[in-house]
Amino acid sequence: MIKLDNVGKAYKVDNQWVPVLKDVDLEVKQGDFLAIMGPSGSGKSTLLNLIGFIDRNYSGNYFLEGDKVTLKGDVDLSKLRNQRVGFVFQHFNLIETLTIQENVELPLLYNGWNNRQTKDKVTELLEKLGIGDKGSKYPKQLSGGQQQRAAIARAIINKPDFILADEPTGALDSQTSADIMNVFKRLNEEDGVTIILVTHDSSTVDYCNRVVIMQDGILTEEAR
Amino acid sequence: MNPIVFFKGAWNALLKNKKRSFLTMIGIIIGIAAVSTIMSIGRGFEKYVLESLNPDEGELLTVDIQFKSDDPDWMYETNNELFSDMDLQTVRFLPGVHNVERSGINLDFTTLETIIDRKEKQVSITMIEDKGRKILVGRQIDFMDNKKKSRVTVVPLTLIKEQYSSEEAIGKGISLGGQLYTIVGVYESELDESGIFGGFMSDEVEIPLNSYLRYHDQGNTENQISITVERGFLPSKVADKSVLLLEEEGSMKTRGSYEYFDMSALDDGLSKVLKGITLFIASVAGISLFIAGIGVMNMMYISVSERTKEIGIRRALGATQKSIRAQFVLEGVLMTSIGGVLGYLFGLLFSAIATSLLPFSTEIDLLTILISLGVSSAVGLIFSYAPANAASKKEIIEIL
Repeated sequence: MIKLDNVGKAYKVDNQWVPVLKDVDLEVKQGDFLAIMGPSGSGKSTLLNLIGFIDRNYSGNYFLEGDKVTLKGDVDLSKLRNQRVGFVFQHFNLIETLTIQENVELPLLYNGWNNRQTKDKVTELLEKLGIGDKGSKYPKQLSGGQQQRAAIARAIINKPDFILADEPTGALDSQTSADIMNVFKRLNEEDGVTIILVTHDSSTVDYCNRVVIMQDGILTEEAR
Repeated sequence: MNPIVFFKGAWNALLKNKKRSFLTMIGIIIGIAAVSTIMSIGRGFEKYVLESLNPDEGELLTVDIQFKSDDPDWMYETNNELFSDMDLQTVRFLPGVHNVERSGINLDFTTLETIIDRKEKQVSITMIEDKGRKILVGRQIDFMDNKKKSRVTVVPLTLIKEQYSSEEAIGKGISLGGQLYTIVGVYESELDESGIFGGFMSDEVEIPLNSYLRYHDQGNTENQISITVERGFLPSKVADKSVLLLEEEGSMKTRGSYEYFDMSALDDGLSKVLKGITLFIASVAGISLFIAGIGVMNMMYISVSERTKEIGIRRALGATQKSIRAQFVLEGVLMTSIGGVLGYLFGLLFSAIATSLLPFSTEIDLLTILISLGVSSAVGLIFSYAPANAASKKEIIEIL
């Protein structure tokens, strides 16, 4: 599904180019639960942003189901972000001024739905994730685990091809982390959702079926 | 994104910041209140002029349209009708025309050429039917002169004093419009020739009416029509339209031009003062709207930088640059439009207060509403575009 071919990226610091990604080749198949591990600053998040159509400045080629993403413009990339990918962040990134219901329905609205159509779908999904009674609450009124569930609901409401999760358990205690990881596991096994997970918590790796290691911009696959 | 969803989002964003939105709105409210106040007062005044020129009771107003030939000689000689029946019919069917009829040459103000001391001079002629004015020496013109169409005249002393004394002048001949008249009387003109206008004032010479008609008014053509204007119409506007129509379709359109004398121009003094005031308030309104616009811009920039994270999240969820820009522009426009509505309501209040001190009243009218709304949303659009554009250009990768 996802194919990165010889992808590289460098930042300019003090007139010097500092490489973050060096000739990365990666292939992700439908149904994969992939963990990207590595120390902080190794380029994990950069790679994730690149896969999520957020970063456009890189060398090499990115193919999504054989389609070259590299040359697409803002409108096409926005559409890809909306329909093909769901993001889950370490600090949840829910919009504070909107209720949980309003946060979760946003991807649907950007996909052309109106407020009346989204209501049932959002409620159903929130129930499935165990926060069905929190729809009218604001993010600050929820616990970390509940907020992350809401964020996951937002990520999967448009039925994306894959979910990108950037240290989704990094701000949660171990019990809640396990809950969240089980949610991902269930999505992967029951609904066949492809998940790419960035983490440096080795306990979360147990849920995954593939692990790659990022070290100083170089990606290596760990055999299992 | 669905337009209603956009609208709802912008509305909610404004409500989240009620106090700030309201404070930013104040400038717009003041500006639009000023605009709508002067507009309704201006329109009230226009209506007042119309009503005072054309009241509900009493006689209808008339306005005269004159034909002026490019070639005056032709006009004197021709026996053609200067206004045909067709012309009268065409004008008759214009809106605001109650009646049209021909009216003759204006006999009250006529001038003839004379030669005094070998110099050519225009003198104004007063036609006498019955009895002329009091004289210094000689006799007055009477009805017998008129009946016999005799070429006799009474002249002012100022006209002849350089040639004759008043007694000498009696019985002397004088040329008026190429005809020889006998001076039968001299009167003392009341005008002081040393006055400012004395030298320019043409002297008034009396002759019998029938003599004039016999010797000078050859064609006896009627060179003007008189239009009676219906109530509720401005005479000047009706006359304007009639003149335009006649110049396009009139029977004599190739021979000359049509003109009218505008009575309502006499009201110019009052309307000039009002125009001055209008211009002054309009510039105040313009400045306050501009400053209000800067306020909107300022608030939008603050809003954008406060919501940087929200912008990033929305972009990650699939918002295009265009929809981010539209979101912020819509917020600005919505805010200023609400300000516009409030401003218009205040304007109604102010003009009601103002007109309680003025001799006319104002009403709610559509044009003022449209302009208030149009101007206020335009201010929102212009001044929130730059911040909205800045918001849309933010790099998502730097935000998240």
